Amino acid sequence: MTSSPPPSSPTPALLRAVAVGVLTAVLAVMAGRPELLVLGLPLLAWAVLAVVRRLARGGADGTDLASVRVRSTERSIAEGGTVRIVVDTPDASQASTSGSSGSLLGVTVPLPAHAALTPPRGSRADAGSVPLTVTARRWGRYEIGPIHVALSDPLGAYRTQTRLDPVMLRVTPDSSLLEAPPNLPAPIGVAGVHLSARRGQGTALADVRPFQRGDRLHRINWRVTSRTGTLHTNATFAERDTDVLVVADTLQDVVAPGLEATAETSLDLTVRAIAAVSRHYLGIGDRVGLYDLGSRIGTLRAGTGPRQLRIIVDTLARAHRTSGPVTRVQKVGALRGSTLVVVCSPLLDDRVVAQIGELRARGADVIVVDTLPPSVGDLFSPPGAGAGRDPQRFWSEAWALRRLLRESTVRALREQGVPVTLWEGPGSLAPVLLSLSRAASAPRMRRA
Amino acid sequence: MRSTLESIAQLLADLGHVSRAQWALRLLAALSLVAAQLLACAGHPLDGVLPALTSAAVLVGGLVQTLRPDASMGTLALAGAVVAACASADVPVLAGVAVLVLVTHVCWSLAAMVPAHGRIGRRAVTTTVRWAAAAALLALAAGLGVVLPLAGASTPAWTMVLGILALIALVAVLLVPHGTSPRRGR
Repeated sequence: MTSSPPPSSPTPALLRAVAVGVLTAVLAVMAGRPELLVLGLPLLAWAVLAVVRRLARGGADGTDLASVRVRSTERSIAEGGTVRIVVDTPDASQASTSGSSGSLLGVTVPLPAHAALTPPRGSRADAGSVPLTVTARRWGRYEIGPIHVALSDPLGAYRTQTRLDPVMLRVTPDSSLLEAPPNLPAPIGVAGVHLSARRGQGTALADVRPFQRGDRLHRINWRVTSRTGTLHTNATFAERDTDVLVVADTLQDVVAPGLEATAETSLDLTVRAIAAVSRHYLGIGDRVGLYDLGSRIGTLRAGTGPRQLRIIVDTLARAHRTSGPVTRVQKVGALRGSTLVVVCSPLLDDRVVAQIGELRARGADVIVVDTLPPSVGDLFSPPGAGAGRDPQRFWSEAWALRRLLRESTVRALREQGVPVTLWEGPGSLAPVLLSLSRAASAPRMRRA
Repeated sequence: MRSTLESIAQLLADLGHVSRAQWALRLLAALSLVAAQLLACAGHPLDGVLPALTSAAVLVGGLVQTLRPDASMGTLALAGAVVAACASADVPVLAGVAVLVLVTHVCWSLAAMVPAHGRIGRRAVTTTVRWAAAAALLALAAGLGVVLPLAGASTPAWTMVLGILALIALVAVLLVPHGTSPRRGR
């Protein structure tokens, strides 16, 4: 992005140099002492160099200062990543090699929310080009700018200023690899990596049984055959893929009172959990879809492979963080039986809880990932966390009560067979998935 | 009264955000200005009218310019130092004051360009120093070649050599490429 600044104008420094130089000349003439000219010579020489340089560059009309441009090394980075933004003049490299000294640039960038700038206050001056680095602390869309640029000749005698359009930066959520077992309670596909309860083509040994017509010869177990004297063959479990539906509850974006600027919100945790779950299951070949109960993220049809992961991550990065609470719940539509449904929710809305019950009733294997930040309703938060807190209001206490009320919802869900696990990073889902698959393969009591 | 206090508080708050590099530049400018004034008044009684007036001008102008490097009050401060130096007939003293005035002027000029709370890159400093050196060399050549002969001062022959060397150095300073490329430098 390039911008041509308006014509430059003399600075107070040039006027100062000329004024003091002329004053010494007047004093020298009036006193009849030519040696007094020595006093003003350096300033006059400084002013002459500035004017000659400007005229030599054809800038009598103030157009001697080149246009400025802004470049960034990346347009899209991951959460916690760093991007380098460089403001420079297009002839900066030529100027340095030809000895004509590039222009001085003073760059000021307003500090974007949830990002760190280097230098810390986003202001830097240099000759030719000015690099700034931005480190994004959270996912989302960042607008770095508008960038205010003061441009002057190398002496600082002529100056102009311009404003560059903001650099748009997309920060994708941190999709750290989920630590979860590949086995699922009930895979529903035809081929994949999940062990199903049914026998079929696979690698995991299920049983050694007598050979039957139609069995593959390479599956014959020769040790058992030689010991028993009859042909035996290895039976294996079938390996299948499955449908995973990630349901996002974006009806609210909750953050601990007083910590709005620094603490992570429920939407932050939801987005990170969705990214990690999607990456995990897409990585092992499953079909993953995304359903948004609110309207901050949007809904995506199920798909497979790296392309689907890219689509999901891009969609998450475009989520609307700033819009207010969403009132209308978009209910999940048709669903294949035994679909693994991962609901990422702070569990604050009864309509979401009802939706979870409905999904369970439809035969889906539902896991709830609790994305209410631990700092919400935590009365024992570290000192300083409640800075700026209004002593007349009791938000923390109110949230603590709300968290206690929510416990009954969590308990009720667990009693209905819906595991609820707190999102604490990549290791959050492993115990839940393991217990689900064990429960699915456990012997059951036959009803009379 | 309240608005005055608020404006003073705002000024102090603004000064609290000024970066170290800015303070270093402003301090260097103030020190060289004070040194120029002391050198200009050296050998003269400080209780005279002229030194008192010029010192006041240097003090007020220098203070305002230190707080706001892009102000025009620096002209008053530099003019005060220059007028104070007029009492001296010693050319080396005049040259010394002139160099100190140039240092003050260049520091203010760079400080006015840099955002108050911003950092200053190395290339900006080297570029400014380079052009200040060019101005000093040009002034040296002009002083030795024009002003001193005009003043009728008896100049030894080596001063001509010095003047020619200053011109050669000036050409070298202006035309020799930078040592630091923008792609490498940070």
